[in-house]
Amino acid sequence: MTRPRRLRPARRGVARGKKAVRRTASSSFELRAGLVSLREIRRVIESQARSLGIGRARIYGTILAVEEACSNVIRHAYADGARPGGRQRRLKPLAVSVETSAGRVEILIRDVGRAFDFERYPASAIADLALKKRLRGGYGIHLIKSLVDRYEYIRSENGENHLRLVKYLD
Amino acid sequence: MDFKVKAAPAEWDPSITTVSPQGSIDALTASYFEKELLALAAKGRRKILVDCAQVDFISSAGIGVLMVVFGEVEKDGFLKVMNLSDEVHESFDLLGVPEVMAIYKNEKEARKALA
Repeated sequence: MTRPRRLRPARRGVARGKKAVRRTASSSFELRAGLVSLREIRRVIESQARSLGIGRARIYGTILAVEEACSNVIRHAYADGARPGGRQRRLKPLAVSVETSAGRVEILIRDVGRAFDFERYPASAIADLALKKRLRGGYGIHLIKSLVDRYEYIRSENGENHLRLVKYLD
Repeated sequence: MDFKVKAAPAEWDPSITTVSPQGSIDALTASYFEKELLALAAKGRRKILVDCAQVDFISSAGIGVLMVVFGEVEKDGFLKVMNLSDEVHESFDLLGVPEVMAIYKNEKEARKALA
C-alpha cells in the first residue's frame, strides 16, 4: 500500500500593522479510516476556523460536507473499515488537508480505497428517491454537492482518490 | 462516545414519547440512535417526537435513521422533530426532509400542532 504523501504546508500569513492577525491557517493530518476518526476531523476544521474568528454557523456546512465525504471513504471506498469491532491496525489511511482563510476554506481528502466516480451519480435524484422510500442511505453525495461551491474528484495514477472541496465563506 | 439518548412520555400528552438525543449524530453514533428508536417502536411507543435541542451535529447517517424509523411507525404512529438548530435545519432543507416529516421550531409549536 502506498502511503499518501504529505502536502506541502500552506503559508501562514499575518497582517501588517500594530496588531498581527492570522489570515490563514492550514493543517494536514493522516488518520486511520474508522468512524471514530470523524469527530476528530470535524474538530480540526472547526478549531482552525475559530482561530481565524470564523464561527461555527459559517463553517457548519463545510464540516458536514467533509464528514459526508470521509464517511463515504470509510464505508464504501474502504468497505471493511467500518466494521464494528474491527482491529484498528487493519484500518486504512485517510489523509485530510485543511486550509482556511477569512474568505474560503479548502479541503483535500485522500485515500487509497476503491475508485468512485463522483460525477456519475445524479445525487439529487438519488436523495429524493431515498427520502420517498424511507431509506437509510443515499443522501451524502447530494449534501456534499449542495454544501460546497467547488468540488473536484481525481483518481491519481498511483491509485489514490483525491477529493478537493472548496467553500467560499460569506 | 459522548452520545446519549433519553426518552420519556411528553408531560402534555403521555401517549407521545419525547426522545432527546444529546451530542452528535454521525455515522458512528447513528446505529445506537437507531436501536434506541426502534426499541421504543417495538415496545409500542410509536408516537415519537425527537427533541434535537441538545444535538450539535447531524450527518446524513442521522437523517437516514430518522427516515427509517419514520417509515417504521408512519402507518400507526408518527415521528416528528423539533428544536433543530438553524445549521442542522438547513441540511434537512437541502434534502427535502420537511416535505415528508414535520419539523417544529420548538415544543410550543409541536404541542399546538399535536394537541
